[in-house]
Amino acid sequence: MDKEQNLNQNLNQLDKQLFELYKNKKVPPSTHNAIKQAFNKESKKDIRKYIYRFAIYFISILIITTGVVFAKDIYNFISSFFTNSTDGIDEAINHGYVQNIDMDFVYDKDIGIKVDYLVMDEKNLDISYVYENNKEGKISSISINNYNIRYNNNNILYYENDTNNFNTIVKNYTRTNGLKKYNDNIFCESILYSVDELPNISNLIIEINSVTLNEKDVIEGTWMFNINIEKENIEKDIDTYIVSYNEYIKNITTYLNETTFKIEILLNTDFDEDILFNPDNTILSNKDKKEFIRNSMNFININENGEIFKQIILEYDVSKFSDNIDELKLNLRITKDKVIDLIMKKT
Amino acid sequence: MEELIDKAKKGDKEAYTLLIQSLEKDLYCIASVKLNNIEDINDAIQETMLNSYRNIKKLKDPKAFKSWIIKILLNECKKIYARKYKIKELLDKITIICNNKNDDDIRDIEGKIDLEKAIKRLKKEEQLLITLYYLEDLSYIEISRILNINYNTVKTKVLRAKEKLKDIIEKEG
Repeated sequence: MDKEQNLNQNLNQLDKQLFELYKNKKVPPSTHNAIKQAFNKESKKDIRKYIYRFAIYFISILIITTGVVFAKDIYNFISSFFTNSTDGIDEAINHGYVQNIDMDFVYDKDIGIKVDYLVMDEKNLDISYVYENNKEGKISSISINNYNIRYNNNNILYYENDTNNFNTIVKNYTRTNGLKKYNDNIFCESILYSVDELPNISNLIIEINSVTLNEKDVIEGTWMFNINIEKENIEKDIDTYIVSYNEYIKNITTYLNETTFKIEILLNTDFDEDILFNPDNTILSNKDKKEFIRNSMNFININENGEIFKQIILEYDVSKFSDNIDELKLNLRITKDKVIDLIMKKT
Repeated sequence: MEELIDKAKKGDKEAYTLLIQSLEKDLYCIASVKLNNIEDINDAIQETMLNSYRNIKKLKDPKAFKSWIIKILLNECKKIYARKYKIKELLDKITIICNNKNDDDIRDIEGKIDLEKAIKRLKKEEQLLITLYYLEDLSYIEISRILNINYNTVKTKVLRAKEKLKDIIEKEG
């Protein structure tokens, strides 16, 4: 039996097992009773649930503030945990802004890599990679190390070692959901490329030159992918917001697209980077007081008429498909004593 | 089912309770993908039942009832998840890091592969697709309507989820 026939037969057996599993699923008596009693349920909220919720918030704050050294470690962990939120990208995917890539693994040096899917909007390109390790020995992590991405006729989108100043379009990037391990051999990673202005991309060539195993062993090789972008992904548009006036704001620009809400701020006053680094000091919320996860924060230097300003770039996990985002509020603590409140209304 | 829907539209709560009970396995299985404890699952199902009853008159096509109610359930699960689980997951992760715990073993006590636990090893979205597809009656088209995903995307993702499941079982077998 060849590999494909074997695979199909195994999948058919799995089909049978899965149908059987759900056929035999038992519903707990409490669920049956919950349905039976639903119309008798009190309409006022269960106080116990709210006490539990506030207890969780209290505990998490206590962990953050207790002890100097330990708190800092926990804080850094919390910060990176929150930046791994993918609600915006999930919303985009659920609204069809995903291109599934049907391809086999490309192998070199017993490492297989393939592109699983990509999500693209005006400012972000999210590429999901799957890695397969066929080397002997246990691998705890695998990720791409050195690579370049070109688009449409060899234009550079991302160049890992931009020492020759090839005018890379991607100014900064953040990893979204980090490296995930399915089993000892298969890993998956989604990398978000953030740009000032994403050009119209009809084709991508990704060239990976080395991978890192176990966070220390570098394996050189060549893994290349040539991907044609589906037409629906080429035409993108962004939404913007009108922002209320504030004396400390020199300039502010907003971009809401399919996967992210990006805010670029130039202040005309001093600010404390360490304070801004704390997500609790840069809260974006809607009218219902729902707070959105901050995916990233960066500072870049802007030269304006010979004067250097530090621009604050905030990205939040909001999609243009998210609910209730016509009006948003940004609360910024820029120093110990200075707080800025901005109301943003969608144009 | 259509008769019960008609009665419910006229205000018959008992008919609506019977209607929801006929779908209790589906609702329970789907909510179990999104939520981790039985109290939250039951809350999500109850809220779904009450919200959908309030809006039952807006349902034009009775044949779409199942897809419609699953959508409402997924929204309710999302609300509960956002309210409770993001912080709890964070605390669980902190506990795991502090205690150097390993991921849950997917083998049961006898050392056999537990299919249900293998499903839990998939991404949440994949678990949901597997659940919706194998609960019978739900075609790719129905799933695509419920989740607002392109039909071809649903088909690809279900197949991919199955392959991953097979890999998990084979590798741990």
